[in-house]
Amino acid sequence: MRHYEVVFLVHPDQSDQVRGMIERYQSLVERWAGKVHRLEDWGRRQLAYSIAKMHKAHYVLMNIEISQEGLAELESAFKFNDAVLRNLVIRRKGPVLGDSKIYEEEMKEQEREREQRKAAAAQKSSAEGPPESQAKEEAVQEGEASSKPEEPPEEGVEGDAEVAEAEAAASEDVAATEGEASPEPESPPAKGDAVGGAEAAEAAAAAPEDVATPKAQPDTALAAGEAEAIASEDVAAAKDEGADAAESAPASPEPEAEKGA
Amino acid sequence: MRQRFRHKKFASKADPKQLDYKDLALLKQFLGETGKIVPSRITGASAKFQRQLTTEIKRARYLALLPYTDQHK
Repeated sequence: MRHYEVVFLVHPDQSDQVRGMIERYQSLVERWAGKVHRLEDWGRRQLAYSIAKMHKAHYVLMNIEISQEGLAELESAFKFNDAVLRNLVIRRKGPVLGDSKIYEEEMKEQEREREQRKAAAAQKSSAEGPPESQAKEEAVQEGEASSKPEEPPEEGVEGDAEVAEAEAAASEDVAATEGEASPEPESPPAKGDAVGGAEAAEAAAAAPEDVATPKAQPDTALAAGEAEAIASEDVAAAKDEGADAAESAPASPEPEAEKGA
Repeated sequence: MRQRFRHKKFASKADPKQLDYKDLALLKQFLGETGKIVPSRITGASAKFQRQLTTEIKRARYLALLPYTDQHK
């Protein structure tokens, strides 16, 4: 009997079947008179690179004590299970107990998310009248996205329909022309090191979604005041140029970052 | 004279035996900007530590906990 540490990645769509899988593998270990010393479900995690065109996967960690034949069966079970994207088995010298670093972080994150959800729910209940649809969208975007791009449309809908319209048209154009148009999230790479740059790049990747989402809100505004459509088109044209300028801008920070490296 | 970048002794802090592929915060200290493992001559890690570090980083990479490069996607 030897001690092993097993990690396997499950297809994110099969995430709800993970419990059953864990039970099956546990019973397999017990059938071979083995023991499960530690079992951790890390949940769905972002992958550092895409595996089989997937960007997320469900991670499970098991520290087990099992005979070599038993391990062979476990490995073949992984091999013939299409839901298991990848698995790693390493030998350990003894039983490993206690939470792993990743598990600790995962639990912390879950707590943070719960708190955020609570806060969002509180906000939703306190906010009244017009920004109902926004509140929902904000709740969805919270956690992942920065709140910067959300703010302007919010004011717009509450206050002037015109302003909202103009911004809507602009945001649509920005979304249409190029995903990386918004200059705000792009600027950090200039000063930051490569790690910061990578994060900023992710933020930039997330940003277009933010810019795109406000579409839905001002659409209603558009329907309300169609007469001002011409005015908004003008503004859109003006902002289009701005977007072009923004596109050329991000090109310069990157070389600087490389120089720094 | 060639410029030396960081010359810190991270290694003295951590015990090579306790290095773990799940301790991403620690492993990331030894990755360069492009995701490469930084040579021990720059980090000041001992040979033993560096060997252990390499295997742990490679395990983390296999499980997609760490990137192989910054060029993914």
